[in-house]
Amino acid sequence: MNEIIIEVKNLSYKYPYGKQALKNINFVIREGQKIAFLGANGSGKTTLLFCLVGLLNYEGEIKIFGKDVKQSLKEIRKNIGFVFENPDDQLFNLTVYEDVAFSLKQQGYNEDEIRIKIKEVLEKLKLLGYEERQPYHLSYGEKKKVCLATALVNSPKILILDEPTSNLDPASTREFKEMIKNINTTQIIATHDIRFAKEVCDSVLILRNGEIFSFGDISLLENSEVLLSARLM
Amino acid sequence: MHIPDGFLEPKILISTNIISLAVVFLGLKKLKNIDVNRIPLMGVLASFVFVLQILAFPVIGGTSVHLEGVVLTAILLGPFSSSLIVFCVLLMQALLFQHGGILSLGANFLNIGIVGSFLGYYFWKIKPTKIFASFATFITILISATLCSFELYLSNRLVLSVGLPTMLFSHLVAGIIEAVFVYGVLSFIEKLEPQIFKFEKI
Amino acid sequence: MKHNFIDKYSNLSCTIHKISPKLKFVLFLTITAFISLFRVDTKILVFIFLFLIFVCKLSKIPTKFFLTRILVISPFIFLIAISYLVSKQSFLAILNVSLKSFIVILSILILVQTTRFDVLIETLKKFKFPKFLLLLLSFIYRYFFVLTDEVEKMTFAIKLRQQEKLSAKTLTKLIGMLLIRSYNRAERINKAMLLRGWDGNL
Repeated sequence: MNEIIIEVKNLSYKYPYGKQALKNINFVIREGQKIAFLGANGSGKTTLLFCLVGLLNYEGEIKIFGKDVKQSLKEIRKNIGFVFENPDDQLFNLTVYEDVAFSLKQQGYNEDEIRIKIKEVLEKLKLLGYEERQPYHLSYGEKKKVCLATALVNSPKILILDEPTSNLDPASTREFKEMIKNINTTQIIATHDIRFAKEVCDSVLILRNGEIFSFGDISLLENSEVLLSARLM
Repeated sequence: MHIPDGFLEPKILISTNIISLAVVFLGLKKLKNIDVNRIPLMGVLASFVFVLQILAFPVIGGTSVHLEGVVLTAILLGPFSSSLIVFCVLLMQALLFQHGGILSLGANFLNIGIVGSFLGYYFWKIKPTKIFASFATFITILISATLCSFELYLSNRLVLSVGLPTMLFSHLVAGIIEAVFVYGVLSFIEKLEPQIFKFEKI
Repeated sequence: MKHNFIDKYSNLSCTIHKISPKLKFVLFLTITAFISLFRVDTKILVFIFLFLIFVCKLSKIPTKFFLTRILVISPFIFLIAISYLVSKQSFLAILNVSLKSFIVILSILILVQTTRFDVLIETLKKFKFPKFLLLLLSFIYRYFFVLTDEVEKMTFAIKLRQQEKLSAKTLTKLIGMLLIRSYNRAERINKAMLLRGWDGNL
């Protein structure tokens, strides 16, 4: 069995205005696993993702690469690629090049190294020639690909995607799916798209009202009773 | 009122630019080590103010007036933050729309940015109520109009007896509208997103 | 919705577009300073004005576009003209002042409409313009389109439910909503920046 890469113990989180978003979350993710986080709206998927990367002040313990998230934020974030649901939140620079270069600049790479890494990742995602384009004027599918580029440029060990296919048309969804399948890192994909999850992931974590409803192999999703109870169907 | 380039004499240009640049540099210094979480907010609010100033607020008879929004940013983020935001908005307006000049940026920033931000902030500090903020807004607009008239008068472009009343009168309506608008927006955000008020005011 | 009206000609490709942005910027500053700080004979102003019109045509900026921009300051010129007439200064003096403004407007316009915005920001950076202000300017530009889209969607939604013209009350709520959305968006952008390793260093 592969090494444990993410370990979550007794995680809970309460919003500042009082709502309990997550309760009693315990699970383990191993290297190379591709896990789907499923759950109805408001079940806590995005909150859980934000806790994993230390963006929220949670209670409990989260260890990534064996290190406590709260103590080693910078180091852990260097090795995680996160793709937000809304591309306009993630692409805040004036050109595609600047957006993809952003995380590399923060880490102190020089101009030449940055240029090489960007060329590599853009080539992989079929985005060569987009360097000088302005993010806002790209199509939604193109923006999503650029978001993916910003996450992959760091060669992350874990890739986290929050609703990657929301608002994507069927053709773009297919293209995106193929791209994701070809990426061999550990992946966490929060999604509503059960078909996408079944085709891309090998395991699933289902949240309901902030608690883990089900956790295990992707074949769980064949059970329609499970899906109905978790309000996924 | 945004004064274009070519309308102010060198002595006015130089003095207003010195004051404005001093405030900008002081603001940059004060904001040097601010909380990281504040920076995107300042950026997006700057864009908000820029968009706001483009929107036309309808008045009776098909005419419309443009809002400033300076007092709002001053209340939410403090006088120096608001000043820097307005400075950048004015610069953008000069660059992209040629609305207001580049060398006259100092004068425009003084009239609109500095007056609005500092008066708006201190009035709120004295009495943080919507009514008082509206009153402050009205006053700052009139003061801006007065300063603008004097700058033009001292540059021999304006006869005060004609210019000042015209400026004040035309800004009276804008002032009332902006005051009412500030009242409305403050009540709206008070109810829906009170956390906005929790930022440190610098 | 595609909005590129704020600098829609900067992506064209022709002679003027290809001139080094640093050079364009220096020329622009020189012209503005020269015009604003010295008394210039009207004949020279006419020459410079016509030269800039020629440059505009050369850079494929539509005539209608730059003429509209020049005329934007006409209320101002009107005000000044009245003052000049009252103080009995000559028509030539009015022409002199007007030409000065037109010249600066045209030179900014040429600079901005023949240079991509990100290149403009890079140029300012090379001239040691404060990085924090450049960040604000970038955000203003970047989120201008996003926010104007949101305004459009909200306006449309309101029009579907009410009358064609927006009442002042509705417009206030719309702007309040835009402010709140801007705040929420800033929070999300902040998260994105932090996750990409940002620590506040510009």
